[in-house]
Amino acid sequence: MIKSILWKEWREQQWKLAFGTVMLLFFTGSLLASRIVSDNEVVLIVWLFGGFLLALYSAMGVFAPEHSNKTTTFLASKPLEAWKVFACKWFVGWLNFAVPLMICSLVLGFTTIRGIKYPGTGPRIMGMDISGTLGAIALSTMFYTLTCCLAPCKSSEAFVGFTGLIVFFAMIIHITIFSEIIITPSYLTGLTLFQQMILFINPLFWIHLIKPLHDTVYVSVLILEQATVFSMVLWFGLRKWQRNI
Amino acid sequence: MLMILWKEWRQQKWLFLLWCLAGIAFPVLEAYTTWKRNGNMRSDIGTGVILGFGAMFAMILAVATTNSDTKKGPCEFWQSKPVSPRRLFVVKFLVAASLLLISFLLILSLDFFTTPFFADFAWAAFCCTYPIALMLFAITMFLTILLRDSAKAILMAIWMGLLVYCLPLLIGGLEWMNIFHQMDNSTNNSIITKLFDLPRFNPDYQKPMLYWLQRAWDSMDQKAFWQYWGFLITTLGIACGCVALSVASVKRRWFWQPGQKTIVWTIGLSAAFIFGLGLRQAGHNLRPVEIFHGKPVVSFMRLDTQAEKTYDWIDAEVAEEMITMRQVTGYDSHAYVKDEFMYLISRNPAPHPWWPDEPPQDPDSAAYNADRYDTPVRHDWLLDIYQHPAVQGEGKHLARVRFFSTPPIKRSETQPVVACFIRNGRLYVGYRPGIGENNQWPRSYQHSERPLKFLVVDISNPAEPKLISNEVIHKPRNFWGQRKTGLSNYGDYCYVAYDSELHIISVANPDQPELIKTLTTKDLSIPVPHDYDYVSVVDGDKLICHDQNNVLLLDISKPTEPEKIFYGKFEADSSSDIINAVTSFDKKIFIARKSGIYVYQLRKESDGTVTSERIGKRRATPLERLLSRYPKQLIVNEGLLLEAACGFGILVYDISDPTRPHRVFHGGDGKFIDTIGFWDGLLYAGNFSYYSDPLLSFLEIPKANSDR
Repeated sequence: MIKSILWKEWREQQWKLAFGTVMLLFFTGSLLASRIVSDNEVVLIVWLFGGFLLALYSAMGVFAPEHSNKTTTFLASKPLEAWKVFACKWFVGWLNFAVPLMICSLVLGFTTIRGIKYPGTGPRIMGMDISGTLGAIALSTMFYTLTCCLAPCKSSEAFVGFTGLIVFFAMIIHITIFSEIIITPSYLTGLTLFQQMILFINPLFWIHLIKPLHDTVYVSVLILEQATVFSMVLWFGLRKWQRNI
Repeated sequence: MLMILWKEWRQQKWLFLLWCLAGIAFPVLEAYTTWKRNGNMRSDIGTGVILGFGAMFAMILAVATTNSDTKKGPCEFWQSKPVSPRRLFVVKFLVAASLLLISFLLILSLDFFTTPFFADFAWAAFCCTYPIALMLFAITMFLTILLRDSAKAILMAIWMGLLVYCLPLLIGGLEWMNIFHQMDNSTNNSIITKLFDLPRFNPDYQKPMLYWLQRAWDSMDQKAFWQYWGFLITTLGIACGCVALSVASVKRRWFWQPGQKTIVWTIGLSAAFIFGLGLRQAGHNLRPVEIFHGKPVVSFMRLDTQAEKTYDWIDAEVAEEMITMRQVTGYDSHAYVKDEFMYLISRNPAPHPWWPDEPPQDPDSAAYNADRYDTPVRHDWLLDIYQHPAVQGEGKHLARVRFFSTPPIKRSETQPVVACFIRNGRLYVGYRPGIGENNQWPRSYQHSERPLKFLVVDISNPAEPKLISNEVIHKPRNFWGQRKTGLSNYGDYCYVAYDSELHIISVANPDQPELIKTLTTKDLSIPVPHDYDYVSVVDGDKLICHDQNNVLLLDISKPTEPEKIFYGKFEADSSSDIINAVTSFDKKIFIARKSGIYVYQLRKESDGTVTSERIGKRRATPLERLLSRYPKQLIVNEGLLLEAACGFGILVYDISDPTRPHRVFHGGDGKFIDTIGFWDGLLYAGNFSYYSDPLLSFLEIPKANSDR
């Protein structure tokens, strides 16, 4: 039964995956070809903006249409636990932005390696590309999960989009407050564990994975805290889905 | 009516309050942090919030307020009530307009009060964004009714927003709708600024109202005035039209149900098309040179490195930390290339821009320096560049000579370097230091004397420069303060222009430069007193001088007896669109303004006078102007016109058909470039005028038929 739910979701959402891939590749290619900004900036633009926009659009189309089209009762009538339906829907929605990001990163990696002039720099750049892709996907995953799970019950697609905007604003305000008031310019050094925990509750700090962090404490706090937040939000979304289905 | 108003307020109040809270949070936070740092509150981020999110909020408000009334149930409920849809939607629009107005002003309030010098920009942001927000509100309202699906309506509205903001960037004819252009000109040219800066009403005159209106009208930039009215009428007209369409669609039950897939693909592909088109205008196709004739080339050259040798010819002590070359700036520097060396004359420390936060500084002496740099092409390198990545980014700073120190001056005071050139193994440097008593200190930074000094250095052995002389060669009649002046060399003579005069200096005796003639505007039969800002030798034996509106072309084939070929006033459509750079080639004058490139053909009339006729122009694209194209220098080379375009890098135009100059190359990779020239077979591009890293980058010299 899981297969048929997955198949249904895939049939419904596969065009979004194609759309995301085409768009992201087009914008990446245009930016690289125009040489209007450096390649590093292209990578950041694509990972951040591409990741956020595709995740937002994907989150809008995961659970909300089932409520709008009143198909939740149809799903509830199937001999499958609610959490499995929830997981299938979440996973296919996740593919919609993760796959374009991975394909785009592959292209970026390939382009960068072709442009390498000095021997020995390839592995380092590839390492950064891989860690950056993982960071971008983790950031988008958190944003996607927060958006689709924190939207109020039976929200329309537009309202889920609005929730996503609020989540984004909250991240920006958090990072602004933290960088302006609490921490000094060299903000990654000399932080207490408590300050680190306040800092890394914001998924935007996944971008730090793009640059290799030597301090394992930072990485551990970031991953542990994000994993906890992710599980809690997912659990919250699942409970909401189970109540409304 | 009151009930509808009350209903609308109840529907919109939460979103309105949330937006106000989120919007004001940023300026409050910024004001708080600046207060914490400097003790005074300052904020300008509210303007950014309005510009970036104002229109988006209007769209969200439209969906939120319309969606609830157009659902199946409420829609039928409304139609059963004695309330006409016209009244309902007009009230909805008016309530939204009021809420948008209040929220925008609230968010901008901190910018107005804490940063008065920034108020022009904040008002411009308000005056541009508010009409657009109203228009997008009405469009989104109509789309929500038509589509009966808030997600689709939002997507379509975002697309409309993109069109409103981006299309004027790509289509020159839509300049009047270009918000970025309006914002860019907000400090000098915008009608919005003018409206808030009208002449004072004076009741003492005989017809005070008429007089005031006349003065107000005269003070306006007519083009900007009509452009803004066009913008206002269009946006508000579309808004009213969409409100009317919303009413009609409810009455006649219009309903359009396209698939989401169709909408998204259409929007995505058209957005990609617009983006690609935009990047085509802004992208760079003039590549940096890495290998030239098999030799490695430094990718860029820093000018502020430590010199291998330093020569100090200064008697007075200059504070060590002040001598360090951190930046070179335009009025205070000039570069000259001879053979494989570049000579850079600069004054250090560079003047510091005025800024309210800057703590007051005590005046201190500054030094004039002459620096010599080795070619960027590593002729001595025989090895493969790939084995020596360290060559990238390095340049050889061979020597520095400190040859003059000023009396104590403030960091913001300009000390012009006129120019330098090399002739017969001598380096000649013209400069105008402010000397003598500064009698207006500290309110003004002008000294009582600013003579033209000439430095002569024997560089026949470049490794051992010898000071020959460093004397005052001319004292101007009038004191013209800090104006840039020009100097250009032709044979054994050089021409210096300032103070409405053209001075001819002979260097026939290499060690004793001599002022041999001074030509006034009267000598040149020029009707209007004329301040030459720049002077340069062009087209072999022509000397071209220009200021903001006038161009003078002289024949200097007889160097001591220059003959006027042409003098003309070239007025632009807009008073702020001054002449930025000029060159001449093949009886044509090329003028660069912010608005574009203009080509004039010179013709000799039967009575012997020379007249000019505009034969071609190439308007700067909106994107070029948005990205800070500001012409600083023009060079003609092999049928191409090269322009140092400041924030927009280098632009290259094909002028093989002068009636249709068109852009063929763009280079600079986003660097700020105000000086270009040729050095050892390469095109160098640098920034000597503004505050950023003093860097030179090296590009291939564009050819007319090379790959574009």
